[in-house]
Amino acid sequence: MRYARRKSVFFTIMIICCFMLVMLGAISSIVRAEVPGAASPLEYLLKLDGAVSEGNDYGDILSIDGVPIASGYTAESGEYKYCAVSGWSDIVGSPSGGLIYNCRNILLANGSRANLLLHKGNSITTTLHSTGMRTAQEELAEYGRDVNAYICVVLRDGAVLVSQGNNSYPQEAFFDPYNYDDLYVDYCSSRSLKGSTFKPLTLRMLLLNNEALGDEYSLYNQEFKDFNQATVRGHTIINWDSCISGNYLTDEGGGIMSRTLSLSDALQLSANTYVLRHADKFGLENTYRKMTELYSLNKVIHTEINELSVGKVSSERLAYFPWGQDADLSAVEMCQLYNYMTGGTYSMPFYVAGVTKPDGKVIYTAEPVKVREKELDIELRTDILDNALADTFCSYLTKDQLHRFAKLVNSRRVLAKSGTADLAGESVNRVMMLTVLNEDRTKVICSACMCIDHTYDYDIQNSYMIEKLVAVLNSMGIL
Amino acid sequence: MKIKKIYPFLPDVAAVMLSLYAMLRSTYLSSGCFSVFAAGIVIACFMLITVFKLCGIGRSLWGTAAAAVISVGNMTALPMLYYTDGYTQGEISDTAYGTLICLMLMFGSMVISQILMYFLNKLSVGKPKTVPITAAICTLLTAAVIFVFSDRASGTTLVFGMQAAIPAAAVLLLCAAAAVSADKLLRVICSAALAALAGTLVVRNETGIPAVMIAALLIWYLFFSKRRNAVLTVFSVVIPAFGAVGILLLKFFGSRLSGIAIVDKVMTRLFSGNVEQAASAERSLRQSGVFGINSYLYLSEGTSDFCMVTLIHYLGIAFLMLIILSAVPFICISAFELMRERGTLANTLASMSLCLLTVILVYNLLMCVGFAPIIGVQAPFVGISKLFSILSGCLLGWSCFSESDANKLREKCKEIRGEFL
Repeated sequence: MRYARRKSVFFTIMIICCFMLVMLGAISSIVRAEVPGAASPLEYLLKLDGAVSEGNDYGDILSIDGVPIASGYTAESGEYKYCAVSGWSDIVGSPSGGLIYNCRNILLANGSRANLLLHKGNSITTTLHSTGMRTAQEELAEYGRDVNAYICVVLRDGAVLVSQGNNSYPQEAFFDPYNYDDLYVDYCSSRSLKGSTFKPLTLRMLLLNNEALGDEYSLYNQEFKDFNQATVRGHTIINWDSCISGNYLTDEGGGIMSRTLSLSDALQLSANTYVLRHADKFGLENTYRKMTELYSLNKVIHTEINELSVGKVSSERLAYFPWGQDADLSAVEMCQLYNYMTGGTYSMPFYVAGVTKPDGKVIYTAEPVKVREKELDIELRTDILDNALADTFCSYLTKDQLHRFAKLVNSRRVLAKSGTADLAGESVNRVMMLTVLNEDRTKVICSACMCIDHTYDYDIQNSYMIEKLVAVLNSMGIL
Repeated sequence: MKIKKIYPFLPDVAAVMLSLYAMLRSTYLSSGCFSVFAAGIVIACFMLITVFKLCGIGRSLWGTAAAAVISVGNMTALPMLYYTDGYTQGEISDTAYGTLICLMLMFGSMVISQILMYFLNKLSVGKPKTVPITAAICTLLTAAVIFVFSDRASGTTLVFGMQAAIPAAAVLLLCAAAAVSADKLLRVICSAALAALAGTLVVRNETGIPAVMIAALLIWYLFFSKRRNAVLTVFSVVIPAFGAVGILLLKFFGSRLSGIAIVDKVMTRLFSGNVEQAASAERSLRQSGVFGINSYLYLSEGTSDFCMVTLIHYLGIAFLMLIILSAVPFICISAFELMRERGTLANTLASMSLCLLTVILVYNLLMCVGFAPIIGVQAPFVGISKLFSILSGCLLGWSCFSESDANKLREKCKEIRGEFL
């Protein structure tokens, strides 16, 4: 009997301890709710650490100029769905991914079933520009489903103004989504090889370390002896014009030709060997390491709606990295890095400009995140690389464009670089980067990127892509 | 004395008041939900009064009171449960019926258990081996059926559309009780059958019920067993100790072993799996406050395993307090009574049922507050699974009602029959 009593006391103590543990867990959860996290205000909202959303129906998703970019509809099954207004599908995404999914905690109190009660949730004002998006959609309309064509514009402070793909289908597509496997794919945040547009990024890093290159390899050397091919670590890399003898001055014999190039010439001619040999002089591992440090290539950028990352390069392929063949990154990140490389300010990309409650109260306003430690001291007007890129822009233009864009050409406000990355199966990625400076060339305004991935059309002219990017930038009043 | 009589009813009265408070401020309440709530209250009152009249104040009344508190909460939070992703329009009625079935089965299961005991006693008169042999055969048959016919396509191990683990839990419990009352050889056979069924469930990816079953049997052996076996005693300490050491080793050195399939699976399950579920439960609890929050915002995932979080979200930590205030006396008083009673088959089944019920409730609550890894353990008396409602009711009935309670009921039935005839 005494033994039973002792056991029952132990049992009671055990049970009470267990339930006290439960209470402790519940109370600690509530107490912790009083302390906001150290995250940014939007992260704070996204993680639902603050009571922000009061409604049960989705709030509005607006462009930065106040145009609705998504709407709800009831599908044939009776299920309530939410889709993009025509032309915005790729960025808005679906409940399984994209803007709605990632911002659903802000937009809506809870799951889709709650939409049965029409209590509106918070509204999100995105950084996307309605006119820019629409113009980009029009410019991309000619590209069929056989290629991935997209245009992206990112402001100096990181705001993504345009993120448009040729997969912006009409609203009817949402009624039959299985016929459109890329309906919700945001090409602009997807990684792809960016080719020679990566060269200026390598050159900026090398410029910062120019002293280590010596006199001959100095990027300020106006007469660097460039060859039509270079063999580095067993990999022979050729220039795109390696067989065009007219582009070279001297025949060195054995199929080797040479010429003298300045940095500007190298960019205009997109000389692979020029960049590769400079990188090799600096050390390929060193180049990769320094670039990783400078551009944070090993870090994943977490925006509100996606994650941006750069593909890793194996040590065997390091010879293909400096001139861009193996540079695998998204258009948004390219724009961000161009803003940084040309202007010296490293800002994190973002898509949400503000969050408003149903009563109109603004509960979040974006504050661009600049990484002060990464700031580069670049004098845009005299910088050798920026000037070389301005020359490159001029070199891409046709006579007609030189005439039409005379003001831009003379002001040297636009910097450009094109690229072509070879893919398996003989298709290529064609890329064009533009960076726009302000009128007195003291600051970068934005960078724009146009890509046509997996195309077999080798005749897409740089001037043609520039025309499209200029149209988009013009539509937003940037140029 | 009066306070002693009133006390078992206090958590129920407080739960009803808390529920009414939540309903009054709620903008989501529908007439359908309120009807279910009202029906539940009527049934709960009927059950409480009947048990009080028949059995007086004892473990049966405490058990009924504890079940009523959770059931009232479940019926109040139906609008919330409905809006969590795990429920559909059809399932709301399932939830409601499940709750009501549970309440009624508490009482009905006593009758079921008494009928079961009657047959078991009849079988064992002069043939003490009959019950253990039958239990072992049934257990092995169950294991074979689960092994051959189970289907896990839906994420839950199903046999003929039913959750395999739930009837298996009842069979495991009966077999364990039979093993305890059997002699040496039959005890080994029954134990082997038990191990076979538990192993089959694990092989078929059903880990929740075997885990809580082992925990319940260990607790039963340590606190309720009338007999001691040196090997078992050592194992009952060594197994949990090994488990704890293993978990700690995996926590700190598991990354070095990644790549080994079983290690990866266990690690995912214990540390990184279902992180979204746990985070969602924590967010939901954070917002609940003392008296709950009238908002869909932050609602937890609507699976049956996390129903308790939704209840606490809507009714607040005060509701959790009420559950504890009604459950602790029920568990402790029942344990106190059962530890003193003779080790008959009925009492063994009752004490094992109590252990299993306690483990299920405590583990589910610990899981909901983030103190235990997420495995498929539902809270009793909530959720949409009718089978689980039946199991909850049976466990409560088996653990609540003693043979004297059954005799009183039998007498009452005879009286009623006499009046009619």
